[in-house]
Amino acid sequence: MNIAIATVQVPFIHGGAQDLAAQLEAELCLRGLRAERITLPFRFFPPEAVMRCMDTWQAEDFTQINGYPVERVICLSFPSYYLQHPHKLAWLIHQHRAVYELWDTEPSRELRQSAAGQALKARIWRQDTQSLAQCRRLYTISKEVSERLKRFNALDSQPLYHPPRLAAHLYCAEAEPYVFFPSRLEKLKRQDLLIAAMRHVHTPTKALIAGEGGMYDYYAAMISRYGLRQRVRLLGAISDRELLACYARCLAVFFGPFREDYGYVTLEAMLAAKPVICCRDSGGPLEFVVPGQTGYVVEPRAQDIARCIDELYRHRRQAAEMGAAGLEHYRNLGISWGKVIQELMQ
Amino acid sequence: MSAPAKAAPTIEEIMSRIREDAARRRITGLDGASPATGPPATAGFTFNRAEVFQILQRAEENARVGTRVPEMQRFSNPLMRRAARAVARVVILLTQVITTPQRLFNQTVLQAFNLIIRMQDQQIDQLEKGMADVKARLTFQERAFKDMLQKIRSDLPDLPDSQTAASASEPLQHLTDPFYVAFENQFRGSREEVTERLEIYLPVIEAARAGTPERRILDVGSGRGEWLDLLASRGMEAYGVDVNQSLLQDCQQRGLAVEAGDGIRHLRQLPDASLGAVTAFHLIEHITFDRLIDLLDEILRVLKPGGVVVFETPNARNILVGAGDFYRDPTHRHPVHPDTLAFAAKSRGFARANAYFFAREGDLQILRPASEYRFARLIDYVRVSRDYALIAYRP
Repeated sequence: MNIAIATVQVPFIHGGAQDLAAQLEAELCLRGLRAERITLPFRFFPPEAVMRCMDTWQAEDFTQINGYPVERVICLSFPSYYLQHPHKLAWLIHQHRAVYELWDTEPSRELRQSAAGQALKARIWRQDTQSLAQCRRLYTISKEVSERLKRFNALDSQPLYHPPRLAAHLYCAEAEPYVFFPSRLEKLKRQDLLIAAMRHVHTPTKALIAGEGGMYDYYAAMISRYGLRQRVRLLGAISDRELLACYARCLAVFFGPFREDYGYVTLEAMLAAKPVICCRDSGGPLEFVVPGQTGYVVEPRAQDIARCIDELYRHRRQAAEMGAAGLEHYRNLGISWGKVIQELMQ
Repeated sequence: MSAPAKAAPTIEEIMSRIREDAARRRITGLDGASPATGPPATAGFTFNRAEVFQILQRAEENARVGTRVPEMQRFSNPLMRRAARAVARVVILLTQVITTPQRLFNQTVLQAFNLIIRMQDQQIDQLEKGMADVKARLTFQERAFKDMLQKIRSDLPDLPDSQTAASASEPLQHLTDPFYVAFENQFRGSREEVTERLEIYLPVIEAARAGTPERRILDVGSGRGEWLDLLASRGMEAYGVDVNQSLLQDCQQRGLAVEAGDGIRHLRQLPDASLGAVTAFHLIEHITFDRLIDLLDEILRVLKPGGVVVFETPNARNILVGAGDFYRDPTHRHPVHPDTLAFAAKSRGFARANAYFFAREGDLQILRPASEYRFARLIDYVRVSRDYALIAYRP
């Protein structure tokens, strides 16, 4: 049986979506199935480029490829689910967020104010609803994504959780006094919330921010401007081994993005038995953090975040207990690739 | 292990601890492309022991600087030569101030070098001994790992492997189904004969109070459906599962409840404690031992307490079966010895797991525990029944 995993590739930007596709492929192959990722480049700018990508996928017929029948197609991302196949199913990572829940936010301003942008939005809404309704079964990676699909496209879907890439390798060690935040440096991930919070932290807790991205210079300047050079450090890209060690040694993990789809960071923190601080509007993480038991859910305000950090520093044993509860909670969720694949392949 | 008393480490201190941690925990398969795991700096450079000793010898020859008076060969006149040697001797004498400590230093360094080499030899010796030990352990680990991998594979959700998956999507493979039907008709015996033989199990099923709507009977590999027919004729609730399309159609036409599918996969879908009996006649000789264990595990799970499992399979203790007839069926994998099967059922958690041979008592066919048989004479291996049964219960 040939299984095609259809997804887009955003060259030079590495994120969770690639991890997911690669893992899915590997996990299917591990079970003796012939699965292969099939990608096309995706340009999210300008609107014409997005349209072109939509046209390309729409023109793709996966019923057979060079005479090889494709029995299953799993579409992961916009607009790969526009392809033609009688048995395609979708396991949606996210839609084109810029024209949905981010439409009214700053990153979509330019799009919002142009005719081309508005036309793009109208077409995507219409075609998403159509194409996704054609799917044999409709899954998403989280409740957050399912809720968006319900809200914007009136489609029902089933969330299907999967473990993060390093699930088997995460470990916990004695905490050092720092809060850890790994993510791409992007506006939506809101590293600035943590940096701003560090101005209000009274305890000697530090903040380590790992990852690279377009906002590096902005965040670096922010750290200097606030005089936080001795308290906040941008680590840039770090190796997996360092990432694991950073998780293992931290006091807590801060993960306060805006409307995250799923958020490996939350799960990785739980697997490293560390408490998680996230925000009320963080999306995916809210599905996993049990407030007061495995972490905190706060308003996206510097003072509130700072208060949590100070509290965790002052009550380190409690922090460790919260972390352990997080690990326990993760285990109870029963997240596994076996289940995902059983569901996708049924 | 850091002391918690040390109140506030700097970011640099924290980072160095993290890096230490990261370096200590070597996880293979992670960030393979990172420079930290690149080739060692000495790659492409091979050390030659003899060369090293040559260099050291040359150094030793030159270590005694400022002691030897040159021969002054270039002066052909003996007088001139003597004069030149005298001058040289004076120069050498004068430079003793410098050369004496230099000689001492040279000798010390050489000594140190020799010592280092000897130490290294010693260490290499030890390392080699250690390596031999590690190699032995590695072989052992590899074997353990292989076992574990196999176990993990068998724990994975029961997806069609590439072979069966390919066949599932391809009707071609099922062309052989009619072949097997004809084969069975030829060698398994007529419907009537088989039905008569199967009656022997009815008391077992009844004793387990199976066959009621609450305690249904599942026949895995229901084949031509003789057993289902028999159960239906006694008003018992039963259904079958089989992969052979031709046989399934046959059964459906006879009005029997059958489903297409792989037995183990079907069992996996059933809730815990939901059946009264599971039967499988001439099935287990067609599957691998791993799958047999899976089958037992799933059956144990889906049986209600007191529920019964019945397997029937060729008896390799019968010398004619074991030596030849078993292999007539090209889809047979290997015979399962009655002791092995009973042991497997017990070890997976079944109670009262026993193998039974068929015996005649007067006009009556009965099941006699295999443990009662003694194979004292060669004729016993011929007379023992050609099939045997496993009967076991969920405690």
